[in-house]
Amino acid sequence: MNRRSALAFIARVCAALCSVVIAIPGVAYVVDGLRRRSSSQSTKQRVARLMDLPPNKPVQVAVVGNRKDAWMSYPNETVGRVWLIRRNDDKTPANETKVDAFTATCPHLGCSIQLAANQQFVCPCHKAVFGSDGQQVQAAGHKAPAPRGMDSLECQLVEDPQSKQWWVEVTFQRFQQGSATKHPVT
Amino acid sequence: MLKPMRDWLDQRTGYRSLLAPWRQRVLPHGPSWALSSASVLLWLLVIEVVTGFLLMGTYTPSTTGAWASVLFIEQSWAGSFIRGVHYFAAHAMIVLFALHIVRVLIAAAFRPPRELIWITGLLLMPLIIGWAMTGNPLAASQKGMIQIEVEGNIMGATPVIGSLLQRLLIGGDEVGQVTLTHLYFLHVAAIPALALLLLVLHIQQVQRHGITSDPDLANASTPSTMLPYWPYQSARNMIVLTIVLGAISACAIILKAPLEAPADPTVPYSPRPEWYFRCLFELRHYFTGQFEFIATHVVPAVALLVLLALPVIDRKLPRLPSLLFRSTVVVVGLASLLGLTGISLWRDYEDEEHLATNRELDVISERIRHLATTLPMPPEGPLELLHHDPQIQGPILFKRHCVSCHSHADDKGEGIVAASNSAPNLFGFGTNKWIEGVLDPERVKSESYFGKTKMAEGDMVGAIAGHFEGVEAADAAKLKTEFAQVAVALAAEAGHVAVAEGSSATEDIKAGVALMADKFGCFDCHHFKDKGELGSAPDLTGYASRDWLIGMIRNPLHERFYPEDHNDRMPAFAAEQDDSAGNQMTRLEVELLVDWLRGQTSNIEIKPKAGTPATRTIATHGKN
Ligand code: FES
Repeated sequence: MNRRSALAFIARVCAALCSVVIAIPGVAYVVDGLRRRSSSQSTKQRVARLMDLPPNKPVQVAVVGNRKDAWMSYPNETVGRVWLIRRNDDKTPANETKVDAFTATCPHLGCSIQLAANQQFVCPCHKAVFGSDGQQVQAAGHKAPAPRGMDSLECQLVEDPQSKQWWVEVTFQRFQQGSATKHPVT
Repeated sequence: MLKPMRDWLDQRTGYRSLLAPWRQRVLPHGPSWALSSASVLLWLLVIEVVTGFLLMGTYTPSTTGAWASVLFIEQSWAGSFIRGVHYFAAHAMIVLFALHIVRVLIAAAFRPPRELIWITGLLLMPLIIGWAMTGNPLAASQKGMIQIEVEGNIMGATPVIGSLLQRLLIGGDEVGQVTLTHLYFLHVAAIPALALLLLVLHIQQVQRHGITSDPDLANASTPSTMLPYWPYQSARNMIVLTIVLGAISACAIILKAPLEAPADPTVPYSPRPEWYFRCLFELRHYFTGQFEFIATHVVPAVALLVLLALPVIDRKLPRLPSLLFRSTVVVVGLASLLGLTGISLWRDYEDEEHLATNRELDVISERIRHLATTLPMPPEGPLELLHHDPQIQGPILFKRHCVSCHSHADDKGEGIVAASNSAPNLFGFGTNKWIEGVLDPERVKSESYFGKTKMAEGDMVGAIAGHFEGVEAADAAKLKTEFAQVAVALAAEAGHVAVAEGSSATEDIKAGVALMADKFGCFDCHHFKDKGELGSAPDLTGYASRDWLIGMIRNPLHERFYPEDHNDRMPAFAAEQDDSAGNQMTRLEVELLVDWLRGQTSNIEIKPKAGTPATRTIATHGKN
């Protein structure tokens, strides 16, 4: 190796070293920033009193929680919306009543699902239609856009020990959009 | 291995012929280490841009978000490193820039036709300093914000264009909501654009006129002068760059880029400029009052003008005087820069008060960073945390309101010491250790308790002395043991002694209360639960508890404490309801002060004294 190529080698090694010193942490920093996700921690939560739910009519309620967004924390923010449907009439005793809960987030691309006049659910973005059981309904002349039905949420009725009133308790979760099966976003 | 790829690329782009003029360029005097300064500066600039772009991906220029977003960056090792490199490379650039100018000066590289290289280069210097200046306050930290405010005011004092310059810097007539966004704009858009313009011109001129030709060596042509730039000069450049970047990385890892407490006017701080302004800062010691503008404006302007005019001055001078003149500029320039900076640093090193506020700020900075990483960050920003933390606010409030009479210093005299003690030392107030002092005939008369107050002549001091009068040594020891039980009983009222069923503390408390009621006759003067009456001495119910202390500080003249002439000089800090304007302290401030006074006690180690029953585990109490 002559002097010239030795110097060229040294110059290249030094340049590579300097690039690596910046590039590796640079990439790690970007990846790190992307990996730290915001969390909306909302555990089980009472969202509505049973007596306020009309039979077989969907009602939308808000889920309030602590929203952590990068470096900020927002206490008591609306972290999501839920459609509740009381399946039995009000003569059924509370402990036998069934209430279904669906998240209002559309499984297609995440728009907010609305209630149409005919008691069906409609997503305004690409016109996905869902029945009151949450399953997608094939509208005539229109290809159903959503890959799956509305996402149901864990939901149960609990009696408040003090007031003796029955409450609907929902475990709110977010699910990944676009896939045929529902996967919780973790 | 890479060769085929490079060949492929070259056939398509022809990059080799583009680079050829740079690579094959022959330097007039051959390669040298000194010539690396330009290349290293350029690469550092590239590093600044790359790391800056990365930081832009997270940083938020808002008064509530800036500090928190920088802390967010700091929380990942990679973010901390990138920010550190960005910070230290900026400093390195300023140093290298100065060296670069010195080298050019010595080589007289500004001679025709190189005037434009010299001028564009010189103009880059204030631009780069402005670049650093606008970068420092972006974290919205105490130091950065005060610095930019002062710098803005200095600019504002410029004749005629002052207020324009100031507005240009801080984006309005005073530091406020829009300042950070504006500084950010200057830092990442305006200044880089200007710098790029100058830089392109500078490099184009360098390329056109070649690098310096020292007149003395112009004709010498040794074989070494025939070596091409690549790899002979490049290798030197890259080696120097690697060393410099290594040093910067080490600083970034070991020292880390600073992040002081978020800017808040209540936090104590004595501002100092960055090191590159130190010499001007020192100059202001010699030009005061109406002559201050000489230090802040005339000197830097004249220095820049002299340097800019060098090509003209130099042309008028014969060769030898020119060399002398240039050497003088370098020597005088460097000597005054270094000298003034040194003196200024020395002054600070000697200035106990300055060092003390710096240490205080360090403590607060560390604390707020701890809070911000463990507690959720409120949407109102980090100041909300800072304003609600007893550990930070306690000492600040104590110094503002209490220290004119009270100290808060431990056995070794460390802590907050009053200039003239005229009231009890409140360190550990309400703990059994502190109360034992009140019940000790000697200590209660000392400066740490009632010595300097009118209570020194009062009934309490008299009563304690009375109990010990004419008592034999053995009995005195027994008395002390009993008083220690009283102290435990009272510390339990304050919430400093854990009261658990069946613990030995519970027995001491019972014994202490019984002693107070019968043997010592405390309730003849003091009220305690269902015994005694209010008005003649402070209430012992809940003595030194949070509630008691809040009441005492708000209004010591209340019948629970020291009504009428029982009070010595303790002012009422919040006698009015709620937060009326007549109060000296807000409700929150009183609470923070009390929490700190009491919380601090949890950190005091109460040393068990052999034989005394007052050896208890003290419940940790208060917010930490
Ligand atoms: S997002 Fe609901 S249909 Fe597309």
